[in-house]
Amino acid sequence: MLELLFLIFCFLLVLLPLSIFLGKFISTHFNNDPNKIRSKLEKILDTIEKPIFKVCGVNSGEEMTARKYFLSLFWSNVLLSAICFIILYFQNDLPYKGVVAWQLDVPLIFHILSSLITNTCQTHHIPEIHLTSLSNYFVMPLLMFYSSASGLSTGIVFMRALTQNKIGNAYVDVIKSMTRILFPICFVITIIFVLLGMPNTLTTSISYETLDNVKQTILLGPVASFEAIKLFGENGLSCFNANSAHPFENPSYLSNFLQLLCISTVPTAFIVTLGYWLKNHKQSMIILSILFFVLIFEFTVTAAFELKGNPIINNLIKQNSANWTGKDTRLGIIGSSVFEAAKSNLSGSANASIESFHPIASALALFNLSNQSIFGVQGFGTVFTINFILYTAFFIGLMLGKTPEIFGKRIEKNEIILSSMLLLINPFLVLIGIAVTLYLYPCNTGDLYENIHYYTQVFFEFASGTASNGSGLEGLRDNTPYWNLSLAIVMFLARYGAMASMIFLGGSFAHKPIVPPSITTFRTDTIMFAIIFLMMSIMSTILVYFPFIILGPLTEIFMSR
Amino acid sequence: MATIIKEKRKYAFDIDYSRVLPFAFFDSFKQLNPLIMIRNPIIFLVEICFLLMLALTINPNLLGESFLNSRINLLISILLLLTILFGNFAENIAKHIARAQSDSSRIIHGDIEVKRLKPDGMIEYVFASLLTKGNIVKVQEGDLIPLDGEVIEGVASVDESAITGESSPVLKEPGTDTSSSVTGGTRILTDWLLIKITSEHGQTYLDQMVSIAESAERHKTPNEMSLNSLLIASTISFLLVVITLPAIMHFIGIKIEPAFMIALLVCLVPTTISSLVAPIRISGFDRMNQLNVLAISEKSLETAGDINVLFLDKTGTITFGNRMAIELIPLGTNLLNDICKVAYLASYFDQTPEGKSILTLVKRYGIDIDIKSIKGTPYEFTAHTRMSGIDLEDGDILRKGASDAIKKYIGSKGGKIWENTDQLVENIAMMGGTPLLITKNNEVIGLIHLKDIVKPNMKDIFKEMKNLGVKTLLCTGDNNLTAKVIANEVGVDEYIAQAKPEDKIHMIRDYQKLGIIVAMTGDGTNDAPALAQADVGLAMNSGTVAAKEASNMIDLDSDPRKIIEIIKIGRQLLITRGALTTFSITNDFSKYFAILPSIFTIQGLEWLNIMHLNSSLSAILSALIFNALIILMMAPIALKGVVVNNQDPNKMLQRNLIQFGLGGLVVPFIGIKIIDLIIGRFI
Repeated sequence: MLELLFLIFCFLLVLLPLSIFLGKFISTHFNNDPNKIRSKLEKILDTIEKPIFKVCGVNSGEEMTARKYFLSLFWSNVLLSAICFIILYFQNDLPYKGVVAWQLDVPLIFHILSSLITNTCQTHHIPEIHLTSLSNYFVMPLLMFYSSASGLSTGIVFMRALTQNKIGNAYVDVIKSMTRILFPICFVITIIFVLLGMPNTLTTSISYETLDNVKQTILLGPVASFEAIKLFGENGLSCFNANSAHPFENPSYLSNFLQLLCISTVPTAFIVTLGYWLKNHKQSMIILSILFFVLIFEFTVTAAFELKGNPIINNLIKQNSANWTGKDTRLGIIGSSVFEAAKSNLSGSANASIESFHPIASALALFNLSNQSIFGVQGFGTVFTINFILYTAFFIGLMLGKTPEIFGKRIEKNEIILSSMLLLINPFLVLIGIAVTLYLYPCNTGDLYENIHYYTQVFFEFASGTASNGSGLEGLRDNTPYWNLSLAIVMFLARYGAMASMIFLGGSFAHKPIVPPSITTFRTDTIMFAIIFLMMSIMSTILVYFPFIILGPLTEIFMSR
Repeated sequence: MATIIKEKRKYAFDIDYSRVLPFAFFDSFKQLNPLIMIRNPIIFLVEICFLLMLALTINPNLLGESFLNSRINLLISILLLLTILFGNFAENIAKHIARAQSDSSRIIHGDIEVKRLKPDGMIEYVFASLLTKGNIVKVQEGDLIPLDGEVIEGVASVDESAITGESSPVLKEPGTDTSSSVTGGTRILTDWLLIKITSEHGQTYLDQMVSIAESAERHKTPNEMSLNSLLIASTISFLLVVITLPAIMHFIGIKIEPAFMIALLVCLVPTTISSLVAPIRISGFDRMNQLNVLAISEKSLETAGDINVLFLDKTGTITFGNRMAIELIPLGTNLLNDICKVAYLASYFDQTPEGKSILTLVKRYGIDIDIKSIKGTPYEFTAHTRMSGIDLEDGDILRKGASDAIKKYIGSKGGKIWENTDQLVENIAMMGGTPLLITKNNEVIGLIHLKDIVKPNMKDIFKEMKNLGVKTLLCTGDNNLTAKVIANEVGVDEYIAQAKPEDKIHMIRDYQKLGIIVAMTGDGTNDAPALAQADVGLAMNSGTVAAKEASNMIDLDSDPRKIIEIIKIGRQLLITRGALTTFSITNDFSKYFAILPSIFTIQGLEWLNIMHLNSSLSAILSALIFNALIILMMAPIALKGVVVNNQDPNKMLQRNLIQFGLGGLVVPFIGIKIIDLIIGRFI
């Protein structure tokens, strides 16, 4: 437990300054106020970006409508996917193949593309087997960068519309997200990762003869730079199938800690940016403290159950051993548990097998995936958080007898409809997805426990797909046309449905004046608000998913006794 | 003010419930018509569930094999029907109370004959329904005034109790802002009036009152619409739960009981708040009616709760309409007694209220003047000379008037002005008063201090406005000094002096651009544009027709202080709605715990059964009975509204959260358990 406390302490100690710095950076660089005073750095970056805008034919001064902003993002995403489709389909005929020559079938390509462009990175394919080096090391990062930038832009445009009454330009935001956030930071991370021992080379493999004369091939690649965008962009697609459990992807305890930092920085920084744009840092600190409270609670619960170990095995071996199944000794129980709890909130990368965790871990993960607001995925998570703030403000407003306001903007029918849509997308896709799958592919073994576990896996698969998370309760044989196509559709609908609701919600707020607070305005930067917010966020998820989580992991817990 | 409202309430609650209840009861059944029901989608869903249950009553195995027999299915369908009926009943009680409030006894029945003036001045008898705007009618003692209009000739006392509930008659005469408009449906008590009709038939204020009561039954307010969207969204998600759950249960191998799934759905969807939304709205409007305020648009009532800034007219709102003399100041060697006498005589023939107030003041000084012994020629007050006085038979010329008019008058005659006069005149102006000068034979002998008199209790009102978070703004055509003094005296937050009507509109617009909700009270024609521009325009019934037409609320008692009650009613509407929504949603937790153990009958989920209800059947029935009964239990809160006080918002929120949030979590656990204990004996 001491290790856990130390880890959490270090985590917060390093994360907070980093994200405050990044948050401030985003707040100045993505501020569309024409009268702002630009710093030297900004002027330099502006001149660098000018030719990029020119080449892309982007009119950087153009202010888009919410509709146009969404459509620009959407079509650019679709276009990029279409190009990548061609590359993936003909990967065998293209150069830089490495050791792989696999003709991908169309449903799998659809799944790969849908999962990457939506920042989900759910992996049904096995990179070492299915993808050539060109596909794996060039197409995948390209999609990861673009989806991450789209996510960042969505979060930024929403916050900007809410706090500054401006929408901005989709292309400018995407390009700026790349040039000012993703590229420079990923570059730094890559260097650190290389220093920690990750390989970073264009050589695809090395072969050697082992001591017992077996010829062995070890796959290599630009792992460090791949890892940088995988983690910082909260994508979670692995270079190798084992994801962050692979020694090349996550060589040491320290690299594991850095990976934890990488996936948490952007969502934390976004909340800080919100504070800057609202000119209310207390607000962002209150939100952050409540989110960290939940996150640390989950760290602790997951770790505690893993340390206690598997009661059945402990009974057999007559020892009190921690639950080491599916974990790497290099990373330890705590290192794996904390990462596990964090990843279901943030990204889909994994350093241990969640399948072998105590079912409480899957229960928490399913809650996180359904809720999506505890930091959540790149950009989108922040919007989900603000969306719950909106709901909280709505109820508080009614309880105080005033038309509800969020950050001084009145919440009316239109906003409620859009934010309800945002919240309905998840249950709609997940619940219907589970029902249809269980109906079409019952996979019934006749054993109650197996059935319940299979159901949990299916639930997890759909939940992680809709939450753009991508982690999975493996053990599900999911590289089949049905799984590939159904999840490709679910991920696509979830991502762009949410993106549309978010941008339109922002657009609807962008036209509203900000009402200055009066003495009867309920302040949203108080502990009281934070508590109500937490209740609201938990309640709205639990109310819908209560029977489903009970039937899955919770039954497993009580059956395993 | 509190007493006035109390009386009104008493009057308003004087409703014959024995007449209301049967009507409400029968209407609840009429409302089961799906075409009417569909207006409330959530209750409509319950109705569909009811029909499904009826089908299951006829054939219990319709949706798969079931261990429930027809009788139990019938019992469940009756419970669902009751859930709908209870909601309808609450709505109908609210409707009938509101109708009784503005019922037909206050409106003219049938058509009456009126005397219309033909252009040549002759009188013709026509039916009131044939009158059009611009017609001139003559009404006499005992006649009903047919339509709203303006007095153009005659003086009469009118009984306006039909609209205000006040029995004392009101004097109506032409040519004034406040007392020349008459309302259709009121009755002339004495004398006669010539009235120019200003409204079409069916558009008088009484007609509007009735139509408002009806439109409140149909139209939703803005916040209600957003709440409705939220409720529908939650219903969709629960519908998804109940539709997809059987697929999973089937897969895992849990037996599905269709009736139980239907029961789960009905218990989860927010039936409590959905059935009570309409009663909350209707009773909110009813409370406004009881306050004798006519809310012309549905929106205005809710907007009233949001008011951030209130524009007030000075004259008639904060102060009495007229200035009054409060002090006499002798100049030079003159004595107070002497100048009192001069002031009295000089003002005797001044018919303006200011003049009369001087006479009152002199009497208060204890100086009695026998006017009959005085002989002289009166010099009457005119707006042009701004002086009045008397030329006495003994040759003394006495005058009083506005300081600059008197100075000019004395200057032209080469009279004497004491050197400290200017100083004193300025002092009075500095204090916000108006100085008048008194002269006797070309000598200025004294000053009269006229002052605006603030209505009693005004200070408390502004204090209360501050507590409600409303900024008050005084708008006046007076000079800066006067405005400042009045503003300080009553405690208004800000003031605008020398304001022209268009200034008011610009100010209101500027505020509105910042998203601030502006209210305005007024009664004059010059206020009309600003009243129309404001989000909430509250016109006084005594005001001009233009003002009333421009505004979206009319205070029938012409008491501007009522704005506080109006704000509170607006807020109460939202609070009641919010509180019941919270209650309705938090109820779901305990319903889950009551119903799920009956549905998930597999090993490993025994821990879920924390309520230990008798049997799965009695658990489902108890939950449904509770679900129906809670609507009836909450109906009185919906009709009366949640208590609103001037607490700090944090405290009020805490109280409501504990009462309705925590209460919503705990009450159903207890309620369902108790019902289970009772019905467990029979099943």
